[in-house]
Formats: sequence, C-alpha cells, structure tokens
Amino acid sequence: MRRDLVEAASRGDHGAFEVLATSAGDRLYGVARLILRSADLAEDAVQEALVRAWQQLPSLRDPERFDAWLYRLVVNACADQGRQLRRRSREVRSLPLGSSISDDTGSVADREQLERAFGRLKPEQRAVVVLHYYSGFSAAEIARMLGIPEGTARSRLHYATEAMRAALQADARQPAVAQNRIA
Amino acid sequence: MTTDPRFDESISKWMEQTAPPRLPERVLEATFERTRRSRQQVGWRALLGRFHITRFASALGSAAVVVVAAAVALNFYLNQLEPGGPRLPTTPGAWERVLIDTPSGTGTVVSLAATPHGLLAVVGEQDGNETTRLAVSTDGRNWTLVPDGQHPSLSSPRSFGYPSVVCTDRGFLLLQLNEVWMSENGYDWRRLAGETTDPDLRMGGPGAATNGGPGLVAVGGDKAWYSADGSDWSVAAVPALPEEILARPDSERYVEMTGVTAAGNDLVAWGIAEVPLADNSDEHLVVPLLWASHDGRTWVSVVDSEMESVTAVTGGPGGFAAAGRAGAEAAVWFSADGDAWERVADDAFTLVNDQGSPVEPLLRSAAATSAGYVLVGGDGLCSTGPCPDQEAVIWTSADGRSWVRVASDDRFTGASANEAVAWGSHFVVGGVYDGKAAIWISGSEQPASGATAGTAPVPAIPTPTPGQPISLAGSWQAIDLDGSQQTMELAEQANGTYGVTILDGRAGACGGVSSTVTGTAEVGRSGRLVTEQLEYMCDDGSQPRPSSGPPLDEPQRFLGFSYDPLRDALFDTRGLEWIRAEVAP
Repeated sequence: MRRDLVEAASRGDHGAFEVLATSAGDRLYGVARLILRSADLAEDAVQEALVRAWQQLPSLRDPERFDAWLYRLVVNACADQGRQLRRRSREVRSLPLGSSISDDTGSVADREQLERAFGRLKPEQRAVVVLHYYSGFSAAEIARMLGIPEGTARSRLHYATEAMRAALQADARQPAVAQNRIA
Repeated sequence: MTTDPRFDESISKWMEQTAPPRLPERVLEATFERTRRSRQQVGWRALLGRFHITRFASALGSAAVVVVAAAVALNFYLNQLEPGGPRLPTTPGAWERVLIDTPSGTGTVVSLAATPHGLLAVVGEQDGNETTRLAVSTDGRNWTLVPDGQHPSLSSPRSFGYPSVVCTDRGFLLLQLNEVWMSENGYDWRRLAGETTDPDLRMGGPGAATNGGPGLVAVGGDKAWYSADGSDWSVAAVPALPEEILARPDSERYVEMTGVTAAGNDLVAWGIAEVPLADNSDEHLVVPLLWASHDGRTWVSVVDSEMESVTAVTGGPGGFAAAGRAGAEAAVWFSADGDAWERVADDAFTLVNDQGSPVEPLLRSAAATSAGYVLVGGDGLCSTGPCPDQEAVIWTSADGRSWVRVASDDRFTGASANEAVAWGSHFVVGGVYDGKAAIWISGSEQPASGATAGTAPVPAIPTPTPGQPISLAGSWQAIDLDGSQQTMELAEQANGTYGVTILDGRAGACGGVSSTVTGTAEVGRSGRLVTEQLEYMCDDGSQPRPSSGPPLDEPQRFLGFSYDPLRDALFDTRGLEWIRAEVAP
C-alpha cells in the first residue's frame, strides 16, 4: 500500500504525496526540532525537506527506502537551517525545560540535566543521537543516511553519548560542591 | 555506543517526551501550496540506461590515463612558469574565468588547494542533492571531476559541512568528519588519521590545516592540533575563550576556528565565537578569535580590540594580512610576525551600489605569492538568495598595506568568490558564476606599477621514495555497512599483480543474498591497490542491481584500497577498514 503511494507520488500524483507527507510529518518534525532546538527552524526544515522530497521523488530508485530517504532529507535541511542561522546570527531557542522524568526504570537522568547535556553537543552529534535514540536507526543505517563511514557514525554516537553521560555526572557533582562551600 | 541500557532508555524516553507531538497543520498547508506549484525532476530510470556495471572497469582505465596525462601535463606546465618573474594581477585582463562542468550543471567551489602536482577543488553541486565532488586540474583551465569511488566518501551539507582541502609539501590534505586523508594527485587517497584510531580527533575535527610547527598544524571548533606527518595528531594548547563568551553556558556557545596560515615559522589561526546576549535573546554577541604560534604546539590570543571579525588571513612576503570588519565596515590589518597587528588601508574596501550608497564587501579569502597579496570575496549587494547582479571582487596589494581593487568587469559579474590560493606565480580563485562552479586564474599580465618581481615559491615536486615492499597477499576481512562480513583473498600472481576475490555474505545489490566479486589488482606507484576488470556476481545467479539511489554501496565501487603500514590495514574508498584474517578477532 505504502509502496503504491510512493510509486504514484513519484509519477506526479500529488494526492498520494500528501498522504505520505502527512503521515510522516509528525515524526520528521520531532527529529528536526530535537536537532535544531527551535520550533521555527524545525518547521522550516521540515517544509524544505518535503518540498525537496516532492521534487526529487522520481529519482528515488527503491520505493522501500522512502522513509529512510525522507529522514536523510530532513537532516540535510536541518544542516541548511543551522548554517543559515549562523550566517544570520539569529537565535536558537532552547526547547522549554520540563520537570524531572519519573519513569519506572529508576532513571539516572533528570530531564533538565539531559536537556543541558544534549544542548552541549554539536549539531552533527545531535543528529546521530536523535536518529538513533528517537528514530531508532542503527549506526549502519545512520551512516548510509548521512553519507559517512559506519565507523564514523559509531564513534560519533559513542562519543556523543559519552559526552552526555559526562555532562550529567558533572552536573550531578555541582550541588555537592556548592553545599560543601556553604558548609 | 553506550553499554548502559538504563541510560539509553533515559535518553530515548526524554526525547519522546521532549519532541513535539504534531507538526502544525499550517506547515503542511504551506508545503503543499509550494509542491503543487513545483515541478518534479526527471526520474533516474531515464538516466540508468546510460550506466552499466561494466563501465566501472573502463572508468578505472580512464582515471589511470588521466593521472598519467596529468603528470605529463604538469611537468610541461611547471616548465612554463615564471618566464619574467611573478606579477600581481591588478587588471581584469590578467584574470581568466573558466567553469568546472558537473553532472547537474550547477555548483560552487567551496575549497581549493594547489600543489606542484596541480590543483584540487571541492565542488558543491546546487541541484537539491548537494552532491560534493572533487575536481583536478594541471593547468587551472581544464578541470576533470574525480570519478565517484576514486576518492573517500565526501561529506556534504547533510553531514554538516563540506570537506576542506589544503596544500602541504607532500600533497593534498582532505579534512572532513574528524578524518584526515592525503593524496598526491587527487585520485589516489590514503587515510592518514581519524577519530576511530586517534583519540585526539574524537571530540573535534580539523577543518583547516597548513604546513608548520612540527610538520602540520590544524584547527577546527575550539581546538588546534599538530602532527609530524598527518598520521598522529596531538591537541595543542590554545588560549582561553574571551570572558564574555565563557560567561554564557557551554551549550549556548558556538566556536569555530576556520583557518590557519603560515609565514616562515610564524603561524596565525582565526575564527569566531558566538553567544546570545541574554536568555531567549534575538541578539548575538560575535567575537573574533585570532591566535598566533611559533611552534604549532602553543597558541596565544593576538586579537586586536578594534577587530569585530576576522574572515581571512594569509602569510605573504612581508608578513600576514588579515581581513575582516571593524566599526561596521570592511577592514584589513597587517602584521610582520603574527603577534602585533596594525590596521591598514582604511578606506580601500568601500563599494558603492547603484544608488550611490556605500556597501560593505564580503572579504572571504586571501592568498599571497612573492609578488604580493590578493583578497577576494563578494560585493555584499546580495547577502541572501539568488542574485544575478552580484559580483566577485578582488583586491591586490604588493606590500599588504596598500590595496587596490581589480576593476569591475564582465568576467566577475553574476559571480561570487569564495577561496583564493597561490600556485607558483599564479593566483587561483574559486567561486560561483551564473550558478556554476567557477575558477579565475591569473595569467601573464605585463608588469604593473607597484608589483615586486621575484621568484614565486614553487615547491619542489615530491620525489616518490620507495619503501620496503609489503606483500598484501592473503585473506582480509571487513564489516560491511549493513553489518555483514566481507572477506577478500589477494593472491600474488607471476606478473606482480594480485588476483582478487571478494565475498559478501549479504549483498544489497543481490537482494540480500551473497555475492562474489573477482578480478585483478595492482599496486600503483602511490602504494595504492587498484582493482580492475572486476566481475560481480550474485551467488544465486541473479543479476546485481543498484540497491537504491546513488551512490552505489556495493563492491563495484571497490576501485581502490589504501594501505596503512602503521596498522597493517587496508582502507577502501568507502572508509571500510580491512584487516588480515589471521589477526581478526
């Protein structure tokens, strides 16, 4: 069914494309917003990605790879937005901070600390972290998507995760240090 | 990847809770409004008929011919240099514009490097796919694209930045994705270092490099590195960021050292640091970074309080020239040693638009020969969007202090210049003209007033130094991108070539069944193992087919392997590492 829609859209059926774009839009927006940390920029990135998808759909050889291809386009568009942002010196608005996660895993992470640690990552590191932990792609799939060697994707994911862990541990130590000083 | 499942789950859960649940309806409406008015591109099926797997072999042969021809032409060309000493190209007639053809017909030159072997350009196509390509030239006028598969996988905007190429005394250096590659001719690439093997390249990657210090120095992000030969990098000691940058949280800082250049033993690196002025502020504080070093290991900040930005620096015959902004206008500074800077040529960089109002030019790159300096960029009239009226602008200076603009001319109209390099006595500038990748090369202008004649710094052509012959015969293993194992048997043959057999346990081009690739390979002069006449077969008898959109990821692309003697490993053109089967875990 989905393959039929992709093939129809690639032949110029705009109705089929609308169905595909609508069904994928929410997930793509989540990826873009996590990477860019800005609602406005994420909306622009998703729109650009979908417009490119429509224009370039006839060049997609394997309809089964449509979803992965869409993710690639949206990450690509996020990179474009990031560069334009730096050129224009506009602001990246941080996502609103929330309360601590109370999950049934006995979480080691606090939402605020995760937000801060994630924010310290470079955009290219955020992209692999989002594609892995939010979208569920493997390092091999991410490598194909971003056009980088799998080893690079693996190490980028590894060091991004380690950087987040280190940042969390550093944040966790800070209150204790402050308390000692007061004492 | 982390091995802590609870931590993994925490990240996933946080992302699920943080990501917005829905894309606003108005975004979809605006998207469909655009797509309804937008045409689709021509499909791949119309193009595929021109492309056959068997062409890989002929493409390889063509590439080899090009390399040989390039070497011959290079020797001829270098012999033609310096007939009357170098001169500054101060008039439009001293510049020739040529275009680099790309498959899409679009592109812009984003990085450029020159060695005695010729020129290498990184071209970013502007066709929607943002394909990145390498182009080589032995004369600056005729450019050839390096075939896909002949070079490392190139990063592109989708992986957050184009690769950079720089000239070293041993060849071209390509920097991308925390990896360093080297080539003498643009075709045969050898991976020198990367984040998977060098811990000093893990939390940051070099984006610019130059000869200097103990051998090579590089900068990128908020770091600097040094290396003797490019295979082993060490992080250098760099100055602390300015206090106003450190005052903001780390997560809000954007720091990027964008370039490094040398003059004698002196080194200068430059970049920017940027933070929002306050929480949720639309205003940003942008601070220039300018570092100097005399050994590449330790850097100090030498930024002048007047500098608002530094966008290009080059080392020349009398010292360093730096371009940027001061007091909201374009400005140039000069320094004899890289430490002390003096603003020069206060009013040389003001342009005027059609209404007679002053316009600030965009100064993007600088280069120098023994004759003097050039500074290139755009006219600043079009900072965003397509702009047919924009103009590439070039200034020249014999001493780095007095600057004169090369007069406006048709060859610069509709264009913008991104990068300048010196090549012998010539200057070569890369950019975009009419949406196409463009090169401007300075030629044999008559002596101009103020130009200093002398011998251009043409480095000697590196002489290949044969090392101990290493036998590559035996079994090799690699893990493919899909996680399956590939094995390769190299059998030494009487004529000095190798018989090659590559087995892929799960080949995408064969619908997931195994495949066998057979052929021969030969070690070239550069030490690179080059395969030829490959025959690719699916083990179930079916015909291999490209799995999905370009680039192809199957063994047809295995056109070359670089041998890393330090690790006794082969790296193929996709970056896969092959290790000997007897030492494989």
